[in-house]
Amino acid sequence: MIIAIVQIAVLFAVGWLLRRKTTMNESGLMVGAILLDQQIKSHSAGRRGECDLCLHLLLLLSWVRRGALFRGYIQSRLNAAWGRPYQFFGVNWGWGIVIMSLLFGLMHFINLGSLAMGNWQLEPWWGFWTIFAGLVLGFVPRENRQYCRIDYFARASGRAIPCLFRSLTEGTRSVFECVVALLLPAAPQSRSQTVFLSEAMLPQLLLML
Amino acid sequence: MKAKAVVEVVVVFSLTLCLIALVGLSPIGEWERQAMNNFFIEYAVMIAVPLLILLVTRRDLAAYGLSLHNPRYHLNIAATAFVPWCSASSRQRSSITKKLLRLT
Repeated sequence: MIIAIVQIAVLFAVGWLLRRKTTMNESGLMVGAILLDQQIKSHSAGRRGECDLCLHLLLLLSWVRRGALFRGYIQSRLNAAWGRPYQFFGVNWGWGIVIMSLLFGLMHFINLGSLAMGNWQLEPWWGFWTIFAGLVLGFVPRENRQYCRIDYFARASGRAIPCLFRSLTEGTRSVFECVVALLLPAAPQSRSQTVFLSEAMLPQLLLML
Repeated sequence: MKAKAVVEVVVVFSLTLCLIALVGLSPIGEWERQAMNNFFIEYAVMIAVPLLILLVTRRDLAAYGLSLHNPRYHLNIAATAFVPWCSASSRQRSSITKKLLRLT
Protein backbone atom coordinates (compact mmCIF):
# COMPACT_ATOMS: atom_id res chain seq x y z
CA MET A 1 0.00 0.00 0.00
CA ILE A 2 2.86 2.35 0.87
CA ILE A 3 4.57 1.61 -2.42
CA ALA A 4 1.33 2.22 -4.30
CA ILE A 5 1.03 5.63 -2.65
CA VAL A 6 4.64 6.37 -3.54
CA GLN A 7 3.94 5.43 -7.14
CA ILE A 8 0.95 7.75 -7.26
CA ALA A 9 3.15 10.53 -5.91
CA VAL A 10 5.73 9.72 -8.58
CA LEU A 11 3.03 9.90 -11.24
CA PHE A 12 2.09 13.41 -10.14
CA ALA A 13 5.73 14.44 -9.82
CA VAL A 14 6.55 13.18 -13.31
CA GLY A 15 3.47 14.87 -14.73
CA TRP A 16 4.40 18.13 -13.06
CA LEU A 17 8.01 17.96 -14.21
CA LEU A 18 7.09 17.14 -17.79
CA ARG A 19 4.27 19.62 -18.08
CA ARG A 20 6.31 22.13 -20.06
CA LYS A 21 8.14 19.72 -22.31
CA THR A 22 7.53 20.07 -25.99
CA THR A 23 5.49 17.58 -27.94
CA MET A 24 6.96 15.23 -30.47
CA ASN A 25 5.17 12.70 -32.54
CA GLU A 26 7.85 10.08 -32.27
CA SER A 27 8.71 6.97 -30.38
CA GLY A 28 11.94 6.01 -28.81
CA LEU A 29 11.49 2.63 -27.25
CA MET A 30 14.54 0.94 -28.60
CA VAL A 31 16.81 3.84 -27.94
CA GLY A 32 15.96 3.69 -24.31
CA ALA A 33 15.97 -0.04 -24.26
CA ILE A 34 19.54 -0.08 -25.41
CA LEU A 35 20.45 2.13 -22.51
CA LEU A 36 19.22 -0.50 -20.19
CA ASP A 37 19.83 -1.32 -16.63
CA GLN A 38 17.70 -1.84 -13.67
CA GLN A 39 19.00 -1.06 -10.32
CA ILE A 40 16.91 -3.60 -8.54
CA LYS A 41 17.98 -6.43 -10.74
CA SER A 42 21.49 -5.14 -10.85
CA HIS A 43 21.78 -5.49 -7.13
CA SER A 44 19.79 -8.64 -6.73
CA ALA A 45 21.54 -10.33 -9.63
CA GLY A 46 24.85 -9.15 -8.28
CA ARG A 47 24.09 -10.86 -5.05
CA ARG A 48 23.44 -14.05 -6.93
CA GLY A 49 26.92 -13.77 -8.33
CA GLU A 50 26.48 -13.28 -12.04
CA CYS A 51 28.94 -11.86 -14.48
CA ASP A 52 28.40 -8.37 -15.80
CA LEU A 53 27.81 -9.38 -19.39
CA CYS A 54 25.14 -11.89 -18.41
CA LEU A 55 23.67 -9.25 -16.18
CA HIS A 56 23.48 -6.71 -18.96
CA LEU A 57 21.88 -9.24 -21.25
CA LEU A 58 19.37 -10.00 -18.56
CA LEU A 59 18.64 -6.33 -18.04
CA LEU A 60 18.29 -5.68 -21.74
CA LEU A 61 15.83 -8.52 -22.12
CA SER A 62 14.09 -7.50 -18.96
CA TRP A 63 13.47 -3.99 -20.19
CA VAL A 64 12.69 -4.72 -23.76
CA ARG A 65 10.21 -7.41 -22.87
CA ARG A 66 8.09 -5.19 -20.66
CA GLY A 67 8.30 -2.36 -23.12
CA ALA A 68 7.53 -4.47 -26.13
CA LEU A 69 4.51 -6.14 -24.59
CA PHE A 70 2.97 -3.58 -22.27
CA ARG A 71 3.97 -0.09 -23.33
CA GLY A 72 4.70 -1.12 -26.88
CA TYR A 73 1.96 -3.41 -28.01
CA ILE A 74 -0.86 -3.30 -25.46
CA GLN A 75 -0.97 0.38 -24.70
CA SER A 76 -0.42 1.45 -28.29
CA ARG A 77 -3.08 -0.88 -29.60
CA LEU A 78 -5.65 0.22 -27.04
CA ASN A 79 -4.86 3.89 -27.48
CA ALA A 80 -5.34 3.55 -31.20
CA ALA A 81 -8.78 2.05 -30.67
CA TRP A 82 -10.01 3.95 -27.62
CA GLY A 83 -8.30 7.27 -28.16
CA ARG A 84 -7.02 9.54 -25.41
CA PRO A 85 -9.78 11.94 -24.51
CA TYR A 86 -8.64 12.85 -21.00
CA GLN A 87 -5.85 15.07 -19.80
CA PHE A 88 -3.35 14.86 -16.97
CA PHE A 89 -0.98 17.80 -16.59
CA GLY A 90 -1.78 18.73 -20.15
CA VAL A 91 -1.00 15.27 -21.41
CA ASN A 92 -3.64 13.23 -23.19
CA TRP A 93 -4.44 9.80 -21.87
CA GLY A 94 -7.13 7.19 -22.38
CA TRP A 95 -8.30 3.80 -21.24
CA GLY A 96 -5.30 2.17 -22.87
CA ILE A 97 -3.00 3.11 -20.04
CA VAL A 98 -5.51 1.92 -17.43
CA ILE A 99 -6.04 -1.47 -19.02
CA MET A 100 -2.32 -1.84 -19.64
CA SER A 101 -1.62 -1.09 -15.98
CA LEU A 102 -4.20 -3.61 -14.85
CA LEU A 103 -2.66 -6.29 -17.04
CA PHE A 104 0.78 -5.27 -15.80
CA GLY A 105 -0.42 -5.76 -12.24
CA LEU A 106 -2.10 -9.01 -13.16
CA MET A 107 1.14 -10.38 -14.56
CA HIS A 108 2.94 -9.60 -11.33
CA PHE A 109 0.05 -11.01 -9.32
CA ILE A 110 0.28 -14.30 -11.19
CA ASN A 111 4.03 -14.36 -10.50
CA LEU A 112 5.15 -16.69 -13.25
CA GLY A 113 8.69 -16.66 -11.93
CA SER A 114 7.67 -18.63 -8.88
CA LEU A 115 5.67 -21.01 -11.06
CA ALA A 116 8.75 -21.76 -13.11
CA MET A 117 10.76 -22.26 -9.94
CA GLY A 118 8.28 -24.88 -8.79
CA ASN A 119 6.78 -23.04 -5.81
CA TRP A 120 3.93 -21.06 -7.27
CA GLN A 121 2.75 -18.26 -5.05
CA LEU A 122 0.33 -15.54 -6.01
CA GLU A 123 1.53 -12.07 -5.07
CA PRO A 124 -1.51 -9.85 -4.47
CA TRP A 125 0.40 -6.89 -3.04
CA TRP A 126 3.02 -7.00 -5.75
CA GLY A 127 0.23 -7.08 -8.27
CA PHE A 128 -1.49 -4.18 -6.54
CA TRP A 129 1.36 -1.70 -6.45
CA THR A 130 2.62 -2.58 -9.90
CA ILE A 131 -0.72 -1.34 -11.26
CA PHE A 132 0.35 2.13 -10.16
CA ALA A 133 3.89 1.60 -11.39
CA GLY A 134 2.34 0.69 -14.72
CA LEU A 135 0.47 3.99 -14.71
CA VAL A 136 3.74 5.88 -14.21
CA LEU A 137 5.56 3.93 -16.87
CA GLY A 138 2.66 4.20 -19.25
CA PHE A 139 2.24 7.90 -18.65
CA VAL A 140 5.85 8.87 -19.21
CA PRO A 141 6.26 7.20 -22.55
CA ARG A 142 3.04 7.21 -24.32
CA GLU A 143 0.95 9.89 -22.84
CA ASN A 144 3.62 12.49 -22.91
CA ARG A 145 1.93 14.69 -25.46
CA GLN A 146 1.59 12.56 -28.50
CA TYR A 147 3.45 9.41 -29.16
CA CYS A 148 6.74 9.89 -27.46
CA ARG A 149 7.95 6.71 -25.97
CA ILE A 150 10.43 7.39 -23.30
CA ASP A 151 9.61 5.12 -20.45
CA TYR A 152 12.79 3.28 -21.12
CA PHE A 153 14.76 6.42 -20.85
CA ALA A 154 12.86 7.42 -17.79
CA ARG A 155 13.67 4.23 -16.07
CA ALA A 156 16.78 3.19 -17.85
CA SER A 157 18.82 6.31 -18.38
CA GLY A 158 19.42 6.96 -14.75
CA ARG A 159 20.43 3.39 -14.27
CA ALA A 160 22.28 2.98 -17.53
CA ILE A 161 24.77 5.76 -16.97
CA PRO A 162 26.27 4.31 -13.80
CA CYS A 163 25.93 0.88 -15.30
CA LEU A 164 27.87 1.88 -18.39
CA PHE A 165 30.39 3.65 -16.22
CA ARG A 166 30.78 0.50 -14.18
CA SER A 167 31.05 -1.54 -17.35
CA LEU A 168 33.92 0.60 -18.54
CA THR A 169 35.80 0.17 -15.33
CA GLU A 170 35.02 -3.48 -14.98
CA GLY A 171 34.94 -4.35 -18.65
CA THR A 172 37.95 -6.57 -18.71
CA ARG A 173 36.88 -8.45 -15.68
CA SER A 174 33.37 -8.80 -17.07
CA VAL A 175 34.52 -10.55 -20.21
CA PHE A 176 36.69 -12.85 -18.17
CA GLU A 177 33.89 -13.56 -15.73
CA CYS A 178 31.47 -14.27 -18.51
CA VAL A 179 33.81 -16.70 -20.18
CA VAL A 180 34.31 -18.46 -16.88
CA ALA A 181 30.57 -18.44 -16.24
CA LEU A 182 29.86 -19.99 -19.60
CA LEU A 183 32.52 -22.62 -19.15
CA LEU A 184 31.67 -23.31 -15.54
CA PRO A 185 28.06 -22.32 -15.00
CA ALA A 186 27.91 -23.71 -11.52
CA ALA A 187 31.05 -21.98 -10.29
CA PRO A 188 30.33 -19.06 -8.00
CA GLN A 189 31.41 -15.74 -9.47
CA SER A 190 32.41 -12.85 -7.32
CA ARG A 191 31.03 -9.46 -8.20
CA SER A 192 31.62 -6.27 -6.32
CA GLN A 193 28.58 -4.63 -4.84
CA THR A 194 28.18 -1.09 -6.04
CA VAL A 195 27.13 1.61 -3.70
CA PHE A 196 23.60 2.77 -4.25
CA LEU A 197 24.34 6.38 -3.54
CA SER A 198 26.96 6.66 -6.25
CA GLU A 199 24.62 5.04 -8.73
CA ALA A 200 21.83 7.36 -7.85
CA MET A 201 23.89 10.52 -7.65
CA LEU A 202 25.95 10.24 -10.82
CA PRO A 203 23.08 10.69 -13.27
CA GLN A 204 21.68 13.50 -11.20
CA LEU A 205 25.02 15.26 -11.32
CA LEU A 206 25.10 14.78 -15.06
CA LEU A 207 21.58 16.10 -15.22
CA MET A 208 22.61 19.19 -13.31
CA LEU A 209 25.52 19.71 -15.69
CA MET B 1 -13.32 -1.62 -33.01
CA LYS B 2 -12.84 -0.96 -29.30
CA ALA B 3 -14.01 -4.39 -28.24
CA LYS B 4 -11.87 -5.98 -30.92
CA ALA B 5 -8.79 -4.16 -29.60
CA VAL B 6 -9.45 -5.29 -26.04
CA VAL B 7 -10.06 -8.89 -27.11
CA GLU B 8 -6.92 -8.86 -29.22
CA VAL B 9 -4.84 -7.45 -26.38
CA VAL B 10 -6.19 -9.92 -23.84
CA VAL B 11 -5.60 -12.82 -26.22
CA VAL B 12 -2.02 -11.74 -26.90
CA PHE B 13 -1.40 -11.17 -23.20
CA SER B 14 -2.82 -14.58 -22.25
CA LEU B 15 -0.93 -16.27 -25.04
CA THR B 16 2.31 -14.68 -23.90
CA LEU B 17 1.79 -15.75 -20.30
CA CYS B 18 0.89 -19.28 -21.35
CA LEU B 19 3.98 -19.55 -23.52
CA ILE B 20 6.16 -18.21 -20.72
CA ALA B 21 4.67 -20.73 -18.31
CA LEU B 22 5.15 -23.55 -20.80
CA VAL B 23 8.75 -22.62 -21.45
CA GLY B 24 9.41 -22.17 -17.77
CA LEU B 25 8.00 -25.56 -16.89
CA SER B 26 9.65 -27.35 -19.80
CA PRO B 27 13.04 -29.10 -19.58
CA ILE B 28 14.55 -26.19 -21.50
CA GLY B 29 13.44 -23.79 -18.80
CA GLU B 30 14.80 -26.06 -16.12
CA TRP B 31 18.15 -26.31 -17.90
CA GLU B 32 18.21 -22.55 -18.32
CA ARG B 33 17.73 -21.92 -14.62
CA GLN B 34 20.35 -24.47 -13.68
CA ALA B 35 22.88 -23.18 -16.17
CA MET B 36 22.28 -19.46 -15.96
CA ASN B 37 20.04 -18.98 -12.94
CA ASN B 38 17.81 -16.71 -14.98
CA PHE B 39 14.87 -16.46 -17.36
CA PHE B 40 16.43 -15.46 -20.66
CA ILE B 41 14.22 -17.64 -22.84
CA GLU B 42 11.04 -16.53 -21.07
CA TYR B 43 12.05 -12.91 -21.58
CA ALA B 44 12.77 -13.60 -25.23
CA VAL B 45 9.31 -15.15 -25.61
CA MET B 46 7.77 -12.06 -24.06
CA ILE B 47 9.51 -9.88 -26.63
CA ALA B 48 8.91 -12.21 -29.55
CA VAL B 49 5.14 -12.58 -29.22
CA PRO B 50 4.16 -8.89 -29.55
CA LEU B 51 6.86 -8.35 -32.17
CA LEU B 52 5.54 -11.26 -34.16
CA ILE B 53 2.00 -9.94 -33.92
CA LEU B 54 3.12 -6.54 -35.15
CA LEU B 55 5.08 -8.04 -38.03
CA VAL B 56 2.32 -10.43 -39.06
CA THR B 57 -0.31 -7.71 -39.01
CA ARG B 58 2.11 -5.38 -40.85
CA ARG B 59 1.80 -2.52 -38.43
CA ASP B 60 4.11 0.44 -38.25
CA LEU B 61 6.76 -0.44 -35.69
CA ALA B 62 7.56 3.19 -34.98
CA ALA B 63 3.97 3.77 -33.89
CA TYR B 64 4.51 1.03 -31.34
CA GLY B 65 7.70 2.54 -30.03
CA LEU B 66 10.21 0.57 -32.02
CA SER B 67 12.24 3.46 -33.24
CA LEU B 68 15.70 4.87 -32.78
CA HIS B 69 14.78 8.33 -33.94
CA ASN B 70 15.55 11.53 -32.04
CA PRO B 71 17.37 10.11 -29.01
CA ARG B 72 18.31 13.54 -27.68
CA TYR B 73 14.71 14.50 -27.08
CA HIS B 74 13.89 11.24 -25.38
CA LEU B 75 16.96 11.48 -23.21
CA ASN B 76 15.89 14.94 -22.18
CA ILE B 77 12.45 13.73 -21.13
CA ALA B 78 13.87 10.70 -19.43
CA ALA B 79 16.45 12.65 -17.51
CA THR B 80 13.66 14.86 -16.22
CA ALA B 81 11.49 11.96 -15.24
CA PHE B 82 14.41 10.14 -13.74
CA VAL B 83 14.60 12.22 -10.59
CA PRO B 84 11.21 11.32 -9.11
CA TRP B 85 11.44 7.81 -10.42
CA CYS B 86 14.82 7.24 -8.87
CA SER B 87 13.60 8.79 -5.65
CA ALA B 88 11.01 6.08 -5.46
CA SER B 89 13.29 3.33 -6.64
CA SER B 90 12.75 -0.10 -5.34
CA ARG B 91 15.82 -0.02 -3.18
CA GLN B 92 14.64 3.04 -1.37
CA ARG B 93 11.15 1.70 -1.14
CA SER B 94 12.32 -1.53 0.33
CA SER B 95 14.47 0.24 2.87
CA ILE B 96 11.60 2.52 3.82
CA THR B 97 9.27 -0.43 4.10
CA LYS B 98 11.74 -2.30 6.25
CA LYS B 99 12.12 0.67 8.54
CA LEU B 100 8.38 1.05 8.81
CA LEU B 101 7.95 -2.61 9.55
CA ARG B 102 10.62 -2.37 12.21
CA LEU B 103 8.84 0.57 13.76
CA THR B 104 5.56 -1.25 13.83
